[in-house]
Amino acid sequence: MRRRIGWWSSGATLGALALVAMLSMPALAQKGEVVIVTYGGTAADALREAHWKPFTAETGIVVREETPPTPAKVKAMVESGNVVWDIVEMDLNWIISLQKAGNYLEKIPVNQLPPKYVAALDREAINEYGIGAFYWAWVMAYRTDVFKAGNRPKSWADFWDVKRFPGPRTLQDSPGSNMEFALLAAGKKSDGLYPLDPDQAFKKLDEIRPSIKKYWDTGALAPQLLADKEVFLGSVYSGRIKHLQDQGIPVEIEWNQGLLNLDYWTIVKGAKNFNNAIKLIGYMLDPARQAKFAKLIPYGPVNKEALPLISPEVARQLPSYAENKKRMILYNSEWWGPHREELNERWQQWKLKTK
Amino acid sequence: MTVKGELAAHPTNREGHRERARPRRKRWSLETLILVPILAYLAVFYVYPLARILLLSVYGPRLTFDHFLRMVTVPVYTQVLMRSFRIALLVTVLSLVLGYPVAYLLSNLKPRQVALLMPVILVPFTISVLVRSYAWMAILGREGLVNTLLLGWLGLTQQPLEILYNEFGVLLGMVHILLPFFILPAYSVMIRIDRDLLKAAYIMGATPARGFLEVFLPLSLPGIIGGGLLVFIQALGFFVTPALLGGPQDTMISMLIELQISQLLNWGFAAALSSVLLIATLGGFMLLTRIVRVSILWGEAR
Repeated sequence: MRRRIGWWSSGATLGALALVAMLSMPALAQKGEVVIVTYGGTAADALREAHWKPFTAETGIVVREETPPTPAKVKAMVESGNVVWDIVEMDLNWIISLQKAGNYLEKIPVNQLPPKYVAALDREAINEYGIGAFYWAWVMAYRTDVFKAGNRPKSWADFWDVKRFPGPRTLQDSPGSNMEFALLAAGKKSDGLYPLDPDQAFKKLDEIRPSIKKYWDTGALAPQLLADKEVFLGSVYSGRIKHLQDQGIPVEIEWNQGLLNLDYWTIVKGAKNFNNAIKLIGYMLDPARQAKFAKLIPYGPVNKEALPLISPEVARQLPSYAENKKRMILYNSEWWGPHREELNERWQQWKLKTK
Repeated sequence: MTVKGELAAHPTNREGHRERARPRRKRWSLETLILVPILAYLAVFYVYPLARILLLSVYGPRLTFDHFLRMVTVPVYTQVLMRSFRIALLVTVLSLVLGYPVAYLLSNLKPRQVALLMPVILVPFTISVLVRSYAWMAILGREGLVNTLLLGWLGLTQQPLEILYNEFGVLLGMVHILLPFFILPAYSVMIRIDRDLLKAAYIMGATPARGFLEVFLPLSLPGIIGGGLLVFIQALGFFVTPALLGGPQDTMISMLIELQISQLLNWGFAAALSSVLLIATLGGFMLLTRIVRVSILWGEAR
């Protein structure tokens, strides 16, 4: 009796296993998957909605999500020969750092991407090791209940003017962006900003030091500080403010003298699903889908044909909106590349000083 | 007397007059066998990676001492290291001052009362450090709980107190998280202290204060040192709490290591910074062994 049950159950198990295998085999073996690494949160929600879901529906390729991207992990993966990521979101600074430290990223075969999309890309969106994902920016944001209409900070010179605009402030815990803002506050013209003058920048930063309550390290901290009224103004990532406004928190962005940057889709050296990665990257360049993405979260599309598809109210919140873009300065990662380590050291040293 | 009995049975005891331990030698082979898995685990997951880190700090493509040279010549690294030590020391002292009375109280309670109070100490353990640090931000902020209470309801202060984003916030947050690491070892030593010794002191005419100072306190020293070391070593490498609750100047060495590893990808330099932290910690430990007999840590009474 006991033996019969054993036979039955193992037979049933085998049958079930075979069924599961048959059902899942085609999807896995033929179409496969692609692993994409982003910062998660609302941006990943928007990416999933605009790009990944239709991609899987059309191609059968499963998109597996991971967070967050760190160049250190990319480096460790490649060095250990265990590459489990395919596409990684990162800015040009990281691309430069990784390629300076060794060879950790695949070259992007641009000719394998849909030519009509590539033709509509902004020039800076095509890099040897990455294809533009979306624009973001460092901008100034302030509390509108503290600085009433008619007396609002409009430039970094205003940010530095603690008499006209008193109150605690925040800046990023990094020399990048702060040095640019300091030099703009010191009267440097936008087009003559790079190459940066570190001595002048740090001298100008000395002036604002007593008013900086906290240097933010993660992108979520700056909006938090504004929401809690710990600071009245500060530098923030542009995409983080809409969420506060939606909650009814009185904050506004000043796009003037913002620092425009973009994230890229890169492919890890030796990625297991290289071909699928190229397919997905090409898929995400579609203007209609980029427009849909921008409606979900205010990051700027890199495909120029996407902007006309976006209503003006939404477009105004995008860093790549023409009115905003022309008032901003493109962050120069190439200049930063060879200077980053030294200036980070100097920044850490500068931060320790009390007055 | 139980304490002495346990000690005598301890096979690694070096004291000559405790020869009684000898007959147990036979069990060594079994004990060694039991130790094999944990030793293997330590070798693979602790000793080997640590050796790799030490190697990485001097061996970039080739043998180099540039990383250590940079650490000495650029002042920021020694300054931050000193700051980290200072914060760790302050946290340890505060944990001792706050934790000792708690442990003392617990050790004097009945088991049922302890069972009631222990969760108060242990429950925060189950909440992540990140969550607890964020909670402090909500409590200490300009418009946080404390300031709303003082400023708005009680009218005790004119301006919001600056208790967040400075050293005060860091110390408060760190002590809150590390306090159980002091209380628990101190408590476990204190409950094993033979209270008859105190009674004997009183019978011989000692005041309660003197009895405490000359009998109880010295006997509880292993707990103080054990707990203090646990707190100090953890505090030295703290990252999340000082990053969230600290101000512009509250940089800890762990933050500079993180910057090198994850942002600047200079792993050799990060390894060198870590090595110095490791060596400095070991150095502190060695210094301690000069002052007190470390064997009291694993339970040998004075």
